[in-house]
Amino acid sequence: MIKPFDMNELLDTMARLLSTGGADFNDVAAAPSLARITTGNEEIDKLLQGGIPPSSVTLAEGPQDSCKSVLCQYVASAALAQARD
Amino acid sequence: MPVRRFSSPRPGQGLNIAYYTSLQSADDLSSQISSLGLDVMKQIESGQFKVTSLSQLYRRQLDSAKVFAVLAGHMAPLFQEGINFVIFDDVTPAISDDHDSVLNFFVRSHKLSRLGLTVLSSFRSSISKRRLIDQLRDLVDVHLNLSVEVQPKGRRMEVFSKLEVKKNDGLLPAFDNKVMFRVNRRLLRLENRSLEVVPATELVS
Repeated sequence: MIKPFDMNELLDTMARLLSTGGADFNDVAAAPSLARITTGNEEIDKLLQGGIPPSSVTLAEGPQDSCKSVLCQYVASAALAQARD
Repeated sequence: MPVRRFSSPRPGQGLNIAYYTSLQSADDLSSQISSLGLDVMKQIESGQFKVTSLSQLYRRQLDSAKVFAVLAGHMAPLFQEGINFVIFDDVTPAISDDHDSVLNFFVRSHKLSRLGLTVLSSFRSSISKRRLIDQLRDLVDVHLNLSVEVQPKGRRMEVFSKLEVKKNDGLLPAFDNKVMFRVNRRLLRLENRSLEVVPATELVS
């Protein structure tokens, strides 16, 4: 049976973590890091230190004909290829 | 009892994309991508690359708040479909003078990103939108500014795109953060790719 979400329990856990100095960050460091999402272009990836960070929000803005769509399409295609490899 | 193999997920494994385009259809997007030397037809067919056209939504000329509410409403249930990367190309027609709606949309995108979704949104900017862009830069993790550059080359003028990283991973880059590129169709025939980064030395007239 799935235990219903208990807000009090969550608050208790948070209070316990705060009183003990927080979570053990060694555990966090041990978790596998997600790969950055390649833009499909090595130079642009270099500027972004490997590509678009996962679990992030990216804004790409510019005037007409500045290749915003080209960039989006490259990112999509490269991300799919990255997932396939 | 059958033996089950467990392995750690590989980076990039299981990446599924929802692509919102202002083009008419998935076919239009696919052919535009093909013209860049890229192919996503198989992934569209398999559902790994889910394309949604925004052209009809934009044509209805709803107010900005409604359009962004629809877009944000679309994003939330994508997790259940296994989508982990959303691209909005682009949201320009939804932007009006009411900047609150676009800011709210990015706030909601940010919340979803903290749950694991990766979001890339593009829009056409102009000088009149500088304040909006500054506000959005505060909300996003990565800010890419694209511009059009015209450089003399001999007697001709060449047009390039310039990409500048204004923010990366929540930080403002301290140095060299620009790259010039152009879509080179000739490369498509030669190397099956079309995005060509132009070295800075080539730009000196």
